[in-house]
Amino acid sequence: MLKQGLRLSIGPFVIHFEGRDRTLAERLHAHYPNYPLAPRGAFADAQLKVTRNPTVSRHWWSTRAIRTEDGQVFTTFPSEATLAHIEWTMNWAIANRSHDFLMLHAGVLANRHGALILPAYPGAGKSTLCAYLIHRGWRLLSDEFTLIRDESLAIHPFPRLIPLKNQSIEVIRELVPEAHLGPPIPGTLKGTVSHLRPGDEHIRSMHETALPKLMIFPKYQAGASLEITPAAKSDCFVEITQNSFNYVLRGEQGFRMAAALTDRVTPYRLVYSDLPAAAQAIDELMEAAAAA
Amino acid sequence: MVSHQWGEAHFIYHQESGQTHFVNQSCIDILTLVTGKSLSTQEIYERLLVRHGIDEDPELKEAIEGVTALLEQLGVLSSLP
Repeated sequence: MLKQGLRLSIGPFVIHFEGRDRTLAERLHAHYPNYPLAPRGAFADAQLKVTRNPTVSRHWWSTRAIRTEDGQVFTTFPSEATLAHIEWTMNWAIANRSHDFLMLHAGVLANRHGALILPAYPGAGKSTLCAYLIHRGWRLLSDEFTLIRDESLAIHPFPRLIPLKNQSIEVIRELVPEAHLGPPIPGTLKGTVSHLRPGDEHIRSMHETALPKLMIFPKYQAGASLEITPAAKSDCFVEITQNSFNYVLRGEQGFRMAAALTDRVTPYRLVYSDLPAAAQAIDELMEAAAAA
Repeated sequence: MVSHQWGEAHFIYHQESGQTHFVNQSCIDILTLVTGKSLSTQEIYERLLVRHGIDEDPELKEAIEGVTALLEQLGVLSSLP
């Protein structure tokens, strides 16, 4: 099916998929059904070729490998984990190559007032928040990458699947029964992962940039009461630099962009355990930031 | 010097090393004075006395020596004459 490859436009990037592999075809069909095809011959920002895993002798028929442009095996995995490894390989490729953007490891959503940036370390509940909020009126720009190309600070969408992990899967299933969740993939490095497919409206608007307005540093803490505290701008700047994939590589322009971004956003810290309450608080914070 | 300030927190971007430093007002006072000039510790001290409108303050002189040593250690400041 994908012998010649399939090039999908996802936000500002083109991703090339290749492989005569039924699982790959099924997963792309189920999870990337409405992304536009890139023109034939378009430059691909990442090339992922799924093959059988050449390095194992046991269960060789059911394990897979992803090779990148140089033909070397990048990752190996059981075939049922194909989607998770495609996603992680894409993340790796974009984070390591797309230095024409200042890239933050942060979810980013938008509403009519502007963009909400959610920088967070793994396990802080960023993906769960994103998954919930996009079903409550927010537009998904990305669950993983905040992409800022220049000092206009316009954020470029890169809307892809949202990987929910472990307990978050059931939380979203219960609170958002209409969510399109893929099959649970157990036993990955991050535990069980299930991918949430964003609705078509998020894909259709993937070339509409948004200007930053609010920055929230979320922290999920089981059983915690909702706690919102304003963050100091200086802390916000430090967090931006530490959550960036390429702040150092961007040099002086990176400094200027991080400083301008800090000036532009209203920063808060959020501790939460209850998703609807956190979502309501975020709505109110955005309203207040817009009115200020 | 490329810098940005939020309240009392100052950040400077050091073009030669590509490093970002979090510094306080004393560093900014000194860096502002020495950028593009070659000043000794005594000259920095005298200019800061004028700027702050004071006659003599041995503690200030000591503090300048401490701050310039730190800035030299960070590579932000070349050795003073």
